Amino acid sequence: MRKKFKSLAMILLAATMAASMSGCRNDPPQGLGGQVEELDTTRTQLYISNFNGGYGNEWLYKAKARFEKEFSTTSFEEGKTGVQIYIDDNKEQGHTVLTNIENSRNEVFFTQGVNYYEFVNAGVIADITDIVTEPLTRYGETKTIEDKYYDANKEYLNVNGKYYAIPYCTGSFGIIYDRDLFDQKGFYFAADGNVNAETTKYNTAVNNGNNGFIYEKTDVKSNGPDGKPNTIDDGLPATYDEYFMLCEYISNAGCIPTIWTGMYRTDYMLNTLRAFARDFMGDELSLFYTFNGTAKRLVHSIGDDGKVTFAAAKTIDSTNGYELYKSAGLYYAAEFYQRLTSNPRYYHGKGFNQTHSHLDAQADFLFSRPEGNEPIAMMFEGSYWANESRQVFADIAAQYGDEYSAKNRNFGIMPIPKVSEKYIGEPYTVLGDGGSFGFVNANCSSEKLVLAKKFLQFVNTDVSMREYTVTTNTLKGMKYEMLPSDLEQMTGFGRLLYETQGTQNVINPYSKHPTFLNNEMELRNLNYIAKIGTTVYNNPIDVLKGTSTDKISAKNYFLGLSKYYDQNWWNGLNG
Amino acid sequence: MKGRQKTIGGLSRRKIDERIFYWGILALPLLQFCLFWIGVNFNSILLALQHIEVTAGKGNVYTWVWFENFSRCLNLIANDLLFKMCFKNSMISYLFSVIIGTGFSLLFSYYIYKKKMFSSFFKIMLFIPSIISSVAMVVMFEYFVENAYPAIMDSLFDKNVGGLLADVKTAFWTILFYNLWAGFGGSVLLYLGEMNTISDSIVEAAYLDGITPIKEFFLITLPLIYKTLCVFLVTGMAGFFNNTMNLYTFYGEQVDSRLYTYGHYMFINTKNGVTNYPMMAALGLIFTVIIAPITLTSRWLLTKLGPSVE
Repeated sequence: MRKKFKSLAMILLAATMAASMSGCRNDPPQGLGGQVEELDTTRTQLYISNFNGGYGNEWLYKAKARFEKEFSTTSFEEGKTGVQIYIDDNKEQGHTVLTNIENSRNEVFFTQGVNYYEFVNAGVIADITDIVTEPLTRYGETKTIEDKYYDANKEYLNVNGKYYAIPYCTGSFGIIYDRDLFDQKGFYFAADGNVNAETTKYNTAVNNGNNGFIYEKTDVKSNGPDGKPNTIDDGLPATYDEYFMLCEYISNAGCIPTIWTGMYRTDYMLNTLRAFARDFMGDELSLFYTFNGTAKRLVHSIGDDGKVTFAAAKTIDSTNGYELYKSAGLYYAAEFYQRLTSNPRYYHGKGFNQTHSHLDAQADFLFSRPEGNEPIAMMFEGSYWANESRQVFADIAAQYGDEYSAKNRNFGIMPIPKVSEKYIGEPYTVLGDGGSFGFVNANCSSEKLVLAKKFLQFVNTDVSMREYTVTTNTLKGMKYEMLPSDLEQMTGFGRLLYETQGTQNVINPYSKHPTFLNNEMELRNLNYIAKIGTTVYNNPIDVLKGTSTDKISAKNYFLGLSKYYDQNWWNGLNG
Repeated sequence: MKGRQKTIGGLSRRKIDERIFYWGILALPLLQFCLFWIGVNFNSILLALQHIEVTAGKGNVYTWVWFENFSRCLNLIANDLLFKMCFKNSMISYLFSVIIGTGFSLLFSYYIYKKKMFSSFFKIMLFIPSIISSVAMVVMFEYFVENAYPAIMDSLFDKNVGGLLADVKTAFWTILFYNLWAGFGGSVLLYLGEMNTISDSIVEAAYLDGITPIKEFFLITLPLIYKTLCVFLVTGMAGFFNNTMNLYTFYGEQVDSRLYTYGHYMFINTKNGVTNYPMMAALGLIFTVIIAPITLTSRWLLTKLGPSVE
C-alpha cells in the first residue's frame, strides 16, 4: 500500500513539474490578424518586441516583408538561409522592459518610456555603433544613421563614443481641430483691414460685429499665433482670450468645442497642460533638463486679478533647479485649464467619465460631423491619434461615404495660443519624444546579434523611414525627407505634420546632468505636484476642474508647486 | 538471516528510501523558498544600505550609505504629507476590512450556512469577484458607477450627478466598497467551510436547550471557527503596508495622490527607476520591523483572549 502511495506521489510530482515546465515553451507569437506563422526551420528566426500603442504595428510588418525579401538568400546561421521575423506586439515599456529583457526571447525592441542610461548601465542593450556609423551604401544611400540624428540626439546617445539605441517615434500633445468643420462654419478670426498685417502681429478685427470672426469664407483671416499673414495658422486663436471667444462662438453655433478622454484624462489632459506650459517657456524649457542657464520667466507674485509680476532673471544651476517650478508657464497653463473647465458648454460631457477611453473620444470626435448632431470642433490628443483611429475612419467611410475617409478629411494641429498679445510671434515650442527607442537585446547569440543589428539598421534607411511615415502618418525622431509621391499617399493630417515640423521649436528632454539622469522619470515630464495646506495634490486635472468641489484656484495651485518643489525636494533628488 | 533488512550508516534501507522520497518532494519548494524569499529579501537588505547613481558613461555606481536611507525614510514617514495621506487611507481601508469586511463575511457565511432565503444566490454573487479576473471586474464596476449610477439617479430621483469616480471624495469610498466586495468571496468560502464542519448534534442539542440563532452564532459557531477567523485577522494586519486597494487596476499610473496607500506608494515608486530601489527597500524593511511585532502580539492576544471551544 505504501509502495503504491509512493509511486502515485512521484507520478503526481512529476506531472506537476511537467505542467510548470510547459510554461517555458516558446510558441511562435501570433502574426498580423492573429494568425500564427508556422516556424520555418530552413530560415533563421528573428524575434521583435513592438510596443503596440498609437503607432501600431503595420509599419513593422511592412518592414518585415521587405527585410525577409532583401535577405532571402543570406545565411545567418549554419545550415539555414534567409530570415523569418516574428513580431511580439505588447504594451511593455520602460521599466517593465528593463526588468524582463534579459530573459526575453525578443532580439530587437521598439518601445517607449525608456531611461536610456539605465538600460546602457545595466548592460542589457547591445553596442550598435557599427550599424549607426557605417554608410548605408547597400541601400543606395551615402549617409549614415548617425548623420540623420539631430544634434541633441547625437550628444545624448553617445556614450564614450558608442551608441546603444536609435530614436524611434516622436510625437507631441496638442489641440487637434477639424479643419473641414472650421471651414464649413467659419470658425476663424477675421483680419482687421485697417492695419498692416505684415507689421502688426495681432490684427484680429475684434469689433467687426461678428465677435471678430469671419463673415464669409473668402474674408481675410487674422495672423494667428505666429503673428504673420499667409501662414498655416491664419485665423486660429492667437491668444488665450481668443481661444475662449472661439469656444463660445462654436458653442453658440450648436457644436461642442472640445473633447478629451475621461478615462485617461489625468494623463492626456496633464500632457495638454504641459504643452501649454512648455509653449510659454520657450527655450527656457531646456533648463528643466540641463539645469544650466538663465530663467527669465519666473513668477515673483500674482495679483488678485491674476496678473503676473515676473522675478528678476535667475541663474539656474545644480543647486537651485527647484526654482524652475516658479515658471509662469506653469501658472498660465493651469489658469487656462481651469477657465476651460469652468464652463461645461466648452467640453464634451464624458470628459471626466472614467469609462470614456481615448479611442471612444476619437470615435466621438470623428463620427460627430457625419452624424450631424453637435459636431465636435477640437480634441486634445497626441499627434499619433490618426493612426490609432484608422479603423474608425474606415467604419465612417463605409457608413457615410468616401468623403469621410482618412485621406479626404482634413484635420490640423492648432498651435498653442499665446498667453496674451504681447507674446504673439514667439515660436510654437514643443517637447520632443525623449524615451522612444529601437535597440538590440545584448543577450542575443553572436549570429543573432548580427541579424538583429541588420534589421535595426534596415528600419532606419530612408526608404523604411518614409514607409513608416506614410503608414502611420507620424514622424520619426530623425532627419529625413519625404518624396512628393510619399506625401500623396498620406492623409491630410499626416502631410500637415510633416510640413509644419520645421516651424516648431522642438526641445528634446536629453541631458547628461546627474540630477536628470538619476531622476529621469520624475523630471522628464513637468509634474504638477502641489502642497496646499496639509495635502499633497498630484492631479491638477481633477483639482483644477472648474466645477471641482476642491475649490482651489489656479493661483493657489501654482503657489503650492513651490511648496512641494523646494530645497528639501531638490536635496532629496540629489541624494 | 531471513527477514533482516540491510543497513547503511545505521539507517535501514526503508528509512533511506523514505528520506529520499521526503527530500525529493521538498527539494523544489525549498529551492524556490531559498531563491525567491531568502535571496530576494537578503538582496533587499543589501540594497537598503546602498545608493545607486546612474551615470552617463560609467555605468550604475553603487555606494554604501549604510543607514542613511533608513533615516530618510523615517523622516518621510514622520513628516511627509503624502505619507500621512498614505497612513490615513491605509488605516481606513484596514479598519473597514476588519470591522465591516470581516463582520459582513461572518454574517453572510452564517446566513448561507443556515440555508436561509436566497442563500445560494448570495453565495454566487459574493464569490463572482473571486472567479472573474480583477481587471474585468474593475471595468464592469467602473461602467456601473460611472454610467449606470448617474442614469439611475437621473431617472429615479431626477438628480443630475456625475459618476462616483469623477470626484476623488466619492472615488475613495467607491473603491473601498469595491475592495470589500471583492474580498468577500475567499473569506466567505472558508468561513462557510468551517461552519459546515460543526457537528449537527451540537447544534441540535443547543436548540433543544432553547438557544436563539444569534446566541448560537456567538456561543457555538464563532468559537468553533475562531481559528480561521484569527488567520484572516492576522494576515490582514500583516498586509497593512502592502495593501494597494487595486488603485493601479482602476487608474493605471495616474492615481490621485489623495487615494494613495503605502502599498501603492511603494509599487509606483519602484516602477520609476533603479535609483528608487534602495529607498523602497529601506522602506519595506522599516514597515516589516513595525508590523511584525504588532502582528505576532495580536496573534498571541487573539489566541489567549478569544472564545474557547470548551
